[in-house]
Amino acid sequence: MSEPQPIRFSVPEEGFDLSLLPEAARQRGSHAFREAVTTYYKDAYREAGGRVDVGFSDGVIEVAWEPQAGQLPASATINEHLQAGRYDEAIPLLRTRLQLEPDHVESLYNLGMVYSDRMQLTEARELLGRAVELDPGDANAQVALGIAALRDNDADAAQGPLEKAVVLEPRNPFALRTLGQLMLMKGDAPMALPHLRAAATVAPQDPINLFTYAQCMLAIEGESHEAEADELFQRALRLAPVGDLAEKIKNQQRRLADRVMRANAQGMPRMDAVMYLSSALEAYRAMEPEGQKQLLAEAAAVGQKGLTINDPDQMHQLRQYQGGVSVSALQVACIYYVGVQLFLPGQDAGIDFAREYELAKGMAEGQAAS
Amino acid sequence: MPEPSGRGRREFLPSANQAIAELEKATGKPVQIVEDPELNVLATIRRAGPGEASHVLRIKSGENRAADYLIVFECRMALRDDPGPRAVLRDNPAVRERVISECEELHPQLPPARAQELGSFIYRGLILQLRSMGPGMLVDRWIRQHGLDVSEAQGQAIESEITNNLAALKPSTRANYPAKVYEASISMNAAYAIHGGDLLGKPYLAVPYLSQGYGEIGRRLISLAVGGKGQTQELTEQQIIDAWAQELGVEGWYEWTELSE
Repeated sequence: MSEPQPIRFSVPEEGFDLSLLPEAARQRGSHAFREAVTTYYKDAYREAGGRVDVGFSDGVIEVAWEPQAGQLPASATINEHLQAGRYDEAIPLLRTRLQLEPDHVESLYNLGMVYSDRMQLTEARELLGRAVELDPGDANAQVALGIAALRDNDADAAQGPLEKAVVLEPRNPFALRTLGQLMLMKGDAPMALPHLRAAATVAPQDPINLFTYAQCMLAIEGESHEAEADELFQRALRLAPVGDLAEKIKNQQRRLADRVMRANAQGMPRMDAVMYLSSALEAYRAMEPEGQKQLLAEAAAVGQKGLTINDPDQMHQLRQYQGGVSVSALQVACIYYVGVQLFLPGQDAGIDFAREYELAKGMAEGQAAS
Repeated sequence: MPEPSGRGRREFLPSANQAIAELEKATGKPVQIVEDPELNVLATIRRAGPGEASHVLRIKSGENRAADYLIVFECRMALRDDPGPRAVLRDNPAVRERVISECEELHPQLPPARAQELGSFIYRGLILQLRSMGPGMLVDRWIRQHGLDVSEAQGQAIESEITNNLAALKPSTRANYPAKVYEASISMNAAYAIHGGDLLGKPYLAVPYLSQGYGEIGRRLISLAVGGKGQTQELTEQQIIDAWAQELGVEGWYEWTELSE
């Protein structure tokens, strides 16, 4: 792009469009008018950078704009700010852009997205609504409008734009996932499933796609998808090993493991868990307080990486347990569970061994009595 | 005296050569290139009329790449003609005389011959704007969309044109023109600035016109030229010019005449 040229022009004060000014500043020739006009021109050239001088003389407004050498074009500046999350810098530039071009779809979309992220949802929905009205074929704008409506707890208003987005771009993973999430929110997991499956297929490297797909599988009543869901959780965790999503995945994995365990036990307490819990109780009681803390901490750390408690072949080493033996994932879970019950009462261990623990405690008390 | 140049005397950018070749192929008539140091503009084309053997492309001497852009622009404008008899704009003598009279009233200090010359100049200037600005938007969009080697020259030419046109906003300039002519001309300049600013990613180029309230009319004119929602087919030159004239309140200020081979 060539370097911008300076701009100088003179226009009559009487011709200035008063609708561009605040109401209190619309008396031509007044101090407020001239201040507002100066502000208007400075704002209007803000996106171009450089320097603006505004003068008034004999009913004429003189404007001189000097560009700054080497300055980035406005659109590049706006995009840089958006990509870096510098919304405070991007907003005035986008607003000015829309003042100059009220129907600039890209700016309507970008400013709408910014407001949506900031939960200024009324403004967001208005801007995004205009964007899709001007360009109904813009799938991203349709998705953004759907998301803003969802964030505004207006699921019904979200459905139309999201369905349109999926029709426009059947392989847009974001559109597919968001529509699927909407269906899940509405309690219609079977309707959500094909969209979430498609999102996970089109973009398998996005852990959120895998996670949401797995959640949907588990939400379908009367069907058993535990193994597939667990595999998806594991894949998602490999892609996002730390952070909020990782915690959510691990939480879901624990619940799934619990569900499978219950199903396998057909409603009965799992006796292998009872035995492991009982051994853990014995081990903790035989340790000094420092050793107890270390064992609990070690079990927690191993558990953080994900435990498939229904897979007996998955083994882990616990240096603090019985001289550093290898134990199964279920054993680690039991050791962790007992530690929480003993030393962090009231805290959620993330898995339900309540029945088994009562039995284990009963066994331990029985042994102590005998 | 201007001399026929032929293509061997000066190097044109590939897209300029391509545009000339396409015009020659489409019309079956060669493009004669004339270097003219006296030319007021960088380049202009006179399309071959009935019975004329060639189009004449006059370019200002010198290695100026803006001329290459104008060559592409002028050739693409010529290529927009439909096959068959071409309709051309002619003056409406009665309207021209009315504009001349209004100029005489505005400038009583001028000798009658000078006032008539001024009035004619103002009238023809308006008709030229009407003739070229609207259809030209489609050509400029085409050039921009095709990412040609003249894109930078196009950007400079458009920005220069917009900047040069700003002088017409001065109150002193307004006072020299009949009101209707002035409003129509400024509105077209506004449309050009808004469109050009959008095309170049420099929407601030339109600020002077927006601040004077010409934003709405400018955008309406652009929409009439490049098409609004739901419009699937490009308008012809005649349709664009007539639509602009109606929007500006100057319909009937010109006549259409058909050229036949």
